[in-house]
Amino acid sequence: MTRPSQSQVQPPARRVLLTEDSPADALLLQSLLGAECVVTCVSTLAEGMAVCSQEQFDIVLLDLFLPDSRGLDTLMQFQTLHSDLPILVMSGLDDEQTAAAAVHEGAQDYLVKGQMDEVLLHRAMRYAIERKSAERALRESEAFYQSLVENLPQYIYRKDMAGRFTFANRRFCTQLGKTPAEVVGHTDLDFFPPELAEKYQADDRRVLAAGKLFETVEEHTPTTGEKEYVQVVKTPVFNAQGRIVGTQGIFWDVTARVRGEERLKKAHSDLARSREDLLRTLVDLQRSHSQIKEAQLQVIEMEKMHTIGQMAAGIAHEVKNPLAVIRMGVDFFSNSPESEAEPTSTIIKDMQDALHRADSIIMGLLDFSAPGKVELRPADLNMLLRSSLNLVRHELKTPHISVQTEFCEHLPAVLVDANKIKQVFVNVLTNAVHAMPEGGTLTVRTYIKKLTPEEAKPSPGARRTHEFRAGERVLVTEFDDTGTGIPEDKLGRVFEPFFTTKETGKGTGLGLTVTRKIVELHEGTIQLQNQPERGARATITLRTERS
Amino acid sequence: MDQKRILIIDDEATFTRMVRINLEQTKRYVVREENRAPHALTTAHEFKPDLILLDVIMPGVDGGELASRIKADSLLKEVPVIFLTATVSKREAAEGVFTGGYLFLPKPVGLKNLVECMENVLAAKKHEHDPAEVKKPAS
Repeated sequence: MTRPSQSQVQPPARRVLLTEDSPADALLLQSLLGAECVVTCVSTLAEGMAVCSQEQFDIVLLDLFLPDSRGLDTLMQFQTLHSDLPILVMSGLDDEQTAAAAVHEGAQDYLVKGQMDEVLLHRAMRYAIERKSAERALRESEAFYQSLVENLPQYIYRKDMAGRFTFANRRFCTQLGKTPAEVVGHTDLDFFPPELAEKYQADDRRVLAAGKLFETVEEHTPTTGEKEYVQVVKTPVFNAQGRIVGTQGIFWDVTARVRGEERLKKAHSDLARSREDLLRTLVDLQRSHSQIKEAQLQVIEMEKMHTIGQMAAGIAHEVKNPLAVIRMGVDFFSNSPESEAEPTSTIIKDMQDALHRADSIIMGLLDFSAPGKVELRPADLNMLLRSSLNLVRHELKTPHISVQTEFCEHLPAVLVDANKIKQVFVNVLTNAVHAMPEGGTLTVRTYIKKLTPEEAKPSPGARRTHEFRAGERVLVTEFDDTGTGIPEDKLGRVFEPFFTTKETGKGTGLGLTVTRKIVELHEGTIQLQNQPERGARATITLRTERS
Repeated sequence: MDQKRILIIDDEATFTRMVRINLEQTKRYVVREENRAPHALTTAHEFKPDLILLDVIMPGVDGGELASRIKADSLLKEVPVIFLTATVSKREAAEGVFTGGYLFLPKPVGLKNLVECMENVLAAKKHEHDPAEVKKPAS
């Protein structure tokens, strides 16, 4: 390891200005300063100040009694021009008091001639330089903070424990219309209305009690003008021992920000409202659209029905006349003596059956095209069902179909057109019978129920000739068969005119169309669905009350 | 036996012919056909029927209009009228309906039913009863 050379570790020589009019003292001091100092020696204040202006020095050793200046004035004059230089004052034994006063005025230290040695001198010089340097740093730091506090666009103050201002920046003072001197030592009560001052002091007490930062936005309404908003941050002031000794506050105008926030909030709420309105409108639009679509479909269907109805009536009239002729002809032959003999008898019977079937089709067409009108009278639905079952009793024999009735015996009288409702029941019963060519069980049930909101809604695709309301008491008639059921792809079409799942010659395709028409004339609904196990269920729902 | 005189007014000639043959076969009626509605009153004046079977929809004059004229005619006003119609749409029509004091029978009407209805109406007329009170024919 190589030790650094002497020249490398040696600190740079101190540049010393020695202001001493006594050549002996100057010589002595120069010798005490030694080789580590570069000494410039002058004998008058004027020389000293002049040389300081031309050269850089680290320290000044200043004798207070010079030919051109005496006592403290010497120091004052020097400092006026070179305040940044550390000064060690040198005095004789007889004027130590003056030297001490010089220290008070800004000299770093004083040394008494004749009482100093090399060590003392060098130590005093080092301390003086360090003190001056620390003093300079402190001054710069203070200037820095002063500049910060005074130039920030905020209002800043400090108060003691009693709420007296101990500091206020220029901006704060300007706002109060006072000088710093007029502010310091006073309280909020001296500058603000009592309520406001009391509020400020309460905030201060809160900060002092909690020992924590307090932040708020205060609202002020000047006597003239609009509301103003101020953001306030108050914190406790701690001393070096960590004890709270007061409060400090900083506040600034946030009116523009608050107004902006208010506008933003309003815009946001307007936007939210607009969005809600828009969503509502959208929902309304969608609903209207679906209603229009539904209405359109119904209009198309009604138009179709109307056309079919007109056509049906025309066909019925045209066909009934030739049928009437055939009927008379068949009756003529059936009254002849040969009618008893075979095969004439069978032929006549077949012709009569065919006539009857053709007439049924025509009757169905006429029913379908008839104007919708019902004559409503109170009736017992169970009785109408029994009567209808009686009408189809022949059909129940072959194949064998057993009938089970589950009638609610306390049904209220219902307003119906009895003949038309019987026609509905006979139609539905006949369909059920036809669905069980191998025999089976036909269950007919009646009951009353209160519609849930879900049940009151029209089923998808159902015609909306009227609507039930939730909670409405309705009378339900169900017809369950154990037959083949309806192919799922045909379920949606069973009410269409001329649509039939039966084999040719077995159905007119008008039965369920007419049935639905009659049920709808009663403001009721009819539904056909397959049962989970087997067979189908027809459900007829009728009103018990009418407005 | 006193044969009743029946006038059938219908534009369907085959139908009136068939009705005539059937009714005349019973030997209880003398039947006259009229297929031209506008000539019906003249024919009725000439034939002097005991009962008129009348179609509803006919070219020229419809059955309703003709029934009104018959009712207004001093010579014919007492003659009962039975409507035979292809336009009865009500299911009840299968059992016969009275509308406006007239009996309506739906086509195709059976001979037995037709004769029963005619006899009931003629009997009611004989007893000068209101046709509306006449027993309804069996279906």
